[in-house]
Amino acid sequence: MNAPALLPERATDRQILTYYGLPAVKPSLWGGLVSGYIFIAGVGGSAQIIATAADFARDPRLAPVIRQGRYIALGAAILGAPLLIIDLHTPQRWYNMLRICRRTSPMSIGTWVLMSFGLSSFAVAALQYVSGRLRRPSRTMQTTMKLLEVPAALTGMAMSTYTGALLSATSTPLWAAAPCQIAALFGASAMASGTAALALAGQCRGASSEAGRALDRIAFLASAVEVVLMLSLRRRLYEKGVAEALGDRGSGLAYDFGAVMLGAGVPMLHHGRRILRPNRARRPSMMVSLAVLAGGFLLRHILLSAGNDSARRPNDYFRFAGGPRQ
Amino acid sequence: MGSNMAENHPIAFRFALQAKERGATLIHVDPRFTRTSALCDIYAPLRPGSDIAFLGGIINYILEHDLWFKEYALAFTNLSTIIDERFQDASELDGFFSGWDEESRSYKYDSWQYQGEVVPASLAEHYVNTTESFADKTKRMEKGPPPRDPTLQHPHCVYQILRRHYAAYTPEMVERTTGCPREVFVKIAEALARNSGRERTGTICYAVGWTHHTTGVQMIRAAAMIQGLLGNVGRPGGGILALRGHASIQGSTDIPTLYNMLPTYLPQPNAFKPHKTLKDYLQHERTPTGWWHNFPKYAVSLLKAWYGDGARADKEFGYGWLPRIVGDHSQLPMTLAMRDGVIRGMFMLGQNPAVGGHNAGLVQRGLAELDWLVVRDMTETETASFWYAGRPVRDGEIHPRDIRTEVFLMPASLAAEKAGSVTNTHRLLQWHDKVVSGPGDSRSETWFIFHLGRRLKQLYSASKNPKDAGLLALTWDYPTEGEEEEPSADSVLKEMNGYTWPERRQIESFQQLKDDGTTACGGWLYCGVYPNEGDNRARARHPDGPEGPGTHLGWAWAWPANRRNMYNRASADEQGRPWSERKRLMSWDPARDEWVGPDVVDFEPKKPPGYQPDWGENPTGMEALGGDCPFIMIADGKASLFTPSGLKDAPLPAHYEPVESPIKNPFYGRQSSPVAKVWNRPDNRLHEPADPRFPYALTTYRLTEHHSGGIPTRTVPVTAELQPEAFAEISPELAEQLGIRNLDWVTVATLRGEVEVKALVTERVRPFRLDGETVHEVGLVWHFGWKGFAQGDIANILSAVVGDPNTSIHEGKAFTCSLRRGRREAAR
Amino acid sequence: MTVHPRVLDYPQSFLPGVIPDEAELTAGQRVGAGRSYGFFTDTTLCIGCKACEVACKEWNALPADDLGLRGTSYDNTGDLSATTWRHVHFIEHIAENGGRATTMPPFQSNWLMMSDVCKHCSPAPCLEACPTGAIFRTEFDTVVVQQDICNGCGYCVPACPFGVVDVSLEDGKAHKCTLCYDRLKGGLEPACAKSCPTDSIQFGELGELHDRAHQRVEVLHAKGVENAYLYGAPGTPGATGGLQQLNAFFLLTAPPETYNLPRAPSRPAERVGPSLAAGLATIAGLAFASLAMFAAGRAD
Repeated sequence: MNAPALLPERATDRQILTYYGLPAVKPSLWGGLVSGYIFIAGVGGSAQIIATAADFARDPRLAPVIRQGRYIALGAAILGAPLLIIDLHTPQRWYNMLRICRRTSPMSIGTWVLMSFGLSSFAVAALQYVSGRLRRPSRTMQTTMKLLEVPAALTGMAMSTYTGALLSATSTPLWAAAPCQIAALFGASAMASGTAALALAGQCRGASSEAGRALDRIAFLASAVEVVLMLSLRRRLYEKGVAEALGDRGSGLAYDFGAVMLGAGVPMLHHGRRILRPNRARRPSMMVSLAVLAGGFLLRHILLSAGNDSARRPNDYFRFAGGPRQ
Repeated sequence: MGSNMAENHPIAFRFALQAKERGATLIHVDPRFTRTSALCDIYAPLRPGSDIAFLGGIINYILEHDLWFKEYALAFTNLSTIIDERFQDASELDGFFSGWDEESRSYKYDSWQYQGEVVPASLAEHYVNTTESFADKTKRMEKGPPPRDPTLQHPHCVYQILRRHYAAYTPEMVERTTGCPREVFVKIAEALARNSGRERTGTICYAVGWTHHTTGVQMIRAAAMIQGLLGNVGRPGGGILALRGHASIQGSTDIPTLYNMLPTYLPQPNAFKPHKTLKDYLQHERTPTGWWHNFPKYAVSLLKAWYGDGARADKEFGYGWLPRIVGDHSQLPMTLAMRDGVIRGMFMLGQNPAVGGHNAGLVQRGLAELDWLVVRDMTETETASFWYAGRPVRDGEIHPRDIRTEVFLMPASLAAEKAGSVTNTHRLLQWHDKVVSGPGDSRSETWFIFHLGRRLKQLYSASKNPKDAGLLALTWDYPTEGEEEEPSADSVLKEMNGYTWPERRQIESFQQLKDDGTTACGGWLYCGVYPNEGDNRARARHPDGPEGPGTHLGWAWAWPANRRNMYNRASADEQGRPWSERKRLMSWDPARDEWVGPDVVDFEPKKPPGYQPDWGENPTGMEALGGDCPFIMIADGKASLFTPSGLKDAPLPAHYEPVESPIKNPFYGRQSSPVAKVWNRPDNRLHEPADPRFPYALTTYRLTEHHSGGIPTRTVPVTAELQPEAFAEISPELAEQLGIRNLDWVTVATLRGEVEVKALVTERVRPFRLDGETVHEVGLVWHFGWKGFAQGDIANILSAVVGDPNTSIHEGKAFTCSLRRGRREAAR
Repeated sequence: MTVHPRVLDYPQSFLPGVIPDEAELTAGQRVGAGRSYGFFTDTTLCIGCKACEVACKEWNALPADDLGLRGTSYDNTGDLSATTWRHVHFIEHIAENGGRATTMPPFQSNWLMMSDVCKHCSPAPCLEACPTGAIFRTEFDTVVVQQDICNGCGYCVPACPFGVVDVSLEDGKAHKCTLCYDRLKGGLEPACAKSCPTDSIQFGELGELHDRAHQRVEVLHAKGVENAYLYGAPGTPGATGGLQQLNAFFLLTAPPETYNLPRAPSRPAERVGPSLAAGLATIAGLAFASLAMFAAGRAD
């Protein structure tokens, strides 16, 4: 007797009913701290991945990349945890996060990912530091490092992408409408940012041109994937009818010009050109790396705030949680 | 009608919804679509103050379509009674009834009487003089039955008079006057009529939506006539339910705060009536026939309760000590007397007239004229703070230093902080115990009055002045309890119940009361609530349980005599048989020779239905009422479709416009009630009918979220936040016309003053289309003031001091106003 | 509601103490651990008196939070929050066909009122999102935030598909309706249900409430209220997308959106898997590509 046929007809999407336009769900309480954390987690996680990949390539010319990658990862872990704790509304009870492990909660998953990423990154970086100070690092040390960098890289993958699930496993329409796209995009963007961070570090601390060339390629690939995913996310949000929060003049322009063009499109073209014409001067690359980093942060921040905005739009939520279309 | 039950009596509305669950049709007739309307089957919009047009239309519809319940109305009402042939009704005299005396601006009631007989009024509250004294004329009521024509053919019988009087109240006229579409009106008339007869009954609920009119009593009368015609009185599921204000407002009518009545509806002695001696008083006020024939027993027992051993037979039981009234001492004229400096001091116990009093600006200016003012409340009220925060003070009209009024603010305890009983809408006395002590120095009203009396008696103890003798004779010996010397509320209830004197043994029934000074009783209708020592029936909590009859006689105690359904003799037919099995309540059991049923019969328990008075014996009291006369409080025992005595304005309800109305009376040349109490003076100016400066119909009302003057709810955060600010409700049509958007400030003005509130533009308010003309309505909530968390301008600043001629109740539900966008000048 | 026979056991006007298993008298059933309890809120009986809001705030000692006139009919509360756990919606639909309603379907119509509350979903997204275990399922199958555990991460706030739970900036903890956990433990009916004068809010064991609700829908349909339907009972709108049922469910007569309710809410936890998988797959691909590129560099 409760067949859907008895459910009153919903007005067309254009005239969808709301309750005085008041929000139907609550936006998250997250702001810049959390978008900063998501960004840093991505940079650190990806730096660790690239370092490990470079280590697996067994190319001694890549040593600086490996070293810098490991340090960046540790730095990100050290910076990320306090950001999260400060964001708690009862920060003195942060340790309650460690009471349980809950697979339905990306927040809980993330706690443990960050814990294990932090510990393994610390161990790898510490060994790296010690072995760099020793004239002849022991073999055991090398093996331990190799053994530890695998979990560090794997948790790095999680670090770079779990934040996508963190956003999507909510009822915020803009995030919940595209769980796969956002996580994938965060992954690609993290790789691009991690590469950019390493490229920057390389320029500052000196790195081989071999490493530079490899990083160029990785950056090109990551940016290309990122551009594709950004466009696909946009399309997905339009399809789901929740793109309005991203269509506003402010956030829309920021997304298109800041995140898509500056953070991914231009770098992609730049790296593409350098792959084709490898002998150009390195100078502009630094600007591009900075642009990638800025774009990466912007992407997360825009998605975060546009998500919060979409939660305040009952129309968006009702389109997302509107059941089958009539 | 006249009630917004779901909003203002939400607990009682539970039962309306349960009836609905069982198939009842709920109908709401109201100027606004309210939370009550939302739960009803039919909603009829009605221009404020046009209720009698609507009700008269129903009476007309019932009579014209012959839908009345013949067996009931012929047997139990005065439908067939023949009226004095000099009587002329409003349709013949363009809005007046016969007997109008232009000079005194009042009616002479001779032509309203039964043919050849004068009928005494039954309630002291509605005391009315004919040109001759009752005492001589009413004797005739004992001589024989009132003249009747059961064939209803006599041109002067009530039936024929009704038909003539209401012939003009057609559905078309109803629509023209009330704004209710005629098809909706007809649907309602049909629904009411079809829901009557042997198998079915209907009930009409009203509240202050009816009483707050200059024609309030007549509105209720009109409803009573419908119920009489349809056979809906004294039967289960029938009746007219007066939904009383708050928990014990019924109690404050029974043991009255009213100036013209002594406890339980005994008349206050009047200096201008033949009340000089006790003998005069008793003889004059006693009705020869019907229950009120017992009046002397009740009056003497009351005097005995008050004056105890001082109430000696040779000293008229202390009757001489009772104060005499000399006119209308109700709230409205008292407000003016205060303003004019006649009244020098005032006690305000749990009342907030700076908000609730009409023409509130005048009230506040009046308070400023007092020498002293005592306010007892749970917090500082508007009334207590008028001298520094009142409207005239804030507007710079009066300066606090010029106000000489000395204000005493005293903390009062709330209900849970004291013991006592409340008497609710259906006359049920329920006792409540003290749960906690009030904070600080707060004390109960009983404490305050008791100790005030005690100290006054002490102060005058040496006085030999005769005027103080009454005070000194007063029995004032309630035992006190505890450190605070709280007088025992229990002992007060015992006194109201009554006991023998001087033994002070509790009595069980008012049948035991005597007029010789051997019984004392503070209120005869409350006799039986405390029948034995330690047996406070108001404390009883024995419901019937799942299998019981549902009258719950064991749950608390209802006056009179724990009777739950008044006039329940009428639940059986003339011969004493139930009208139907479905509607069975009381019936005559020939085997046991008595009335039986799950209620306490409202009749002499052993009087058979066939009993007829032996008129040769000059029967008096109940002897003069036949076994087929259920309405024992009325002199002839029949429901008065036509009221010969007791009302000052009309024997039959006729539609008069409110004193202030946006239109001319469509029915008669006479615009408003000719006897309405009107005080037209510079500080209480009134609008002419259809004054173009004040084109909108204004009505004021309450919200579920707030309580009366607002002090108990506006000062409590969790209730204040629910309705945090005053507002005016206007229709989208009017809003568009005046360029007002939702939540804009608007200023509502009358000649008495103006208020600024936020606008709430809502479809719940609609324009009334009357004969091509559109009348817009403005609705204003009146709870607000400047104290507490929820604040706003006081709506009653706009209202006028005008009142019903019978009750002096103000007309707060219908007047006119102007409206504009923006704030008041003075507030800027 | 008929009178419970046990009512006859307490004829005193001043009771000696708390009545054992008082819920049996007031709601018709005893409260016992291990069974599922909830609310059936029948909007057709709601008169919008807000007694539930007041009773809730009084019992739970919640402060007033907003004193503004909102201009949204008689709703001056706006939404559920950390300090408001019951909220009555008011929706005016008086105008129809160019005129105004006069004849209406029986029971509440044209001015819709609905007392909203935490749905105590099963499974509960807030609980599933809580990383500390502060939110737990009680022995009465209700969902409660333990104040001494919560660290105010706020993740439950966007997780809730109904916008119920909120973090108080005063004390930094998440708050929401507890379905009067303390009262249930004492055998009492929740404060809002007990205070509801028209039994619009009914408390009870879920199975029985479901039966009662389905019967009520049938009765209403028979009386001509054709648009009455349940929201949040198993298999009805509201119990969708992985949400098996809402322990606080509703009888509505207008589209859910009218009452600010989503037609087809979903369980956020169901998005964790796909999201993680997509993210990890992407980054794993890029990681292997990186390895390949580094390795390619070595081959040069």
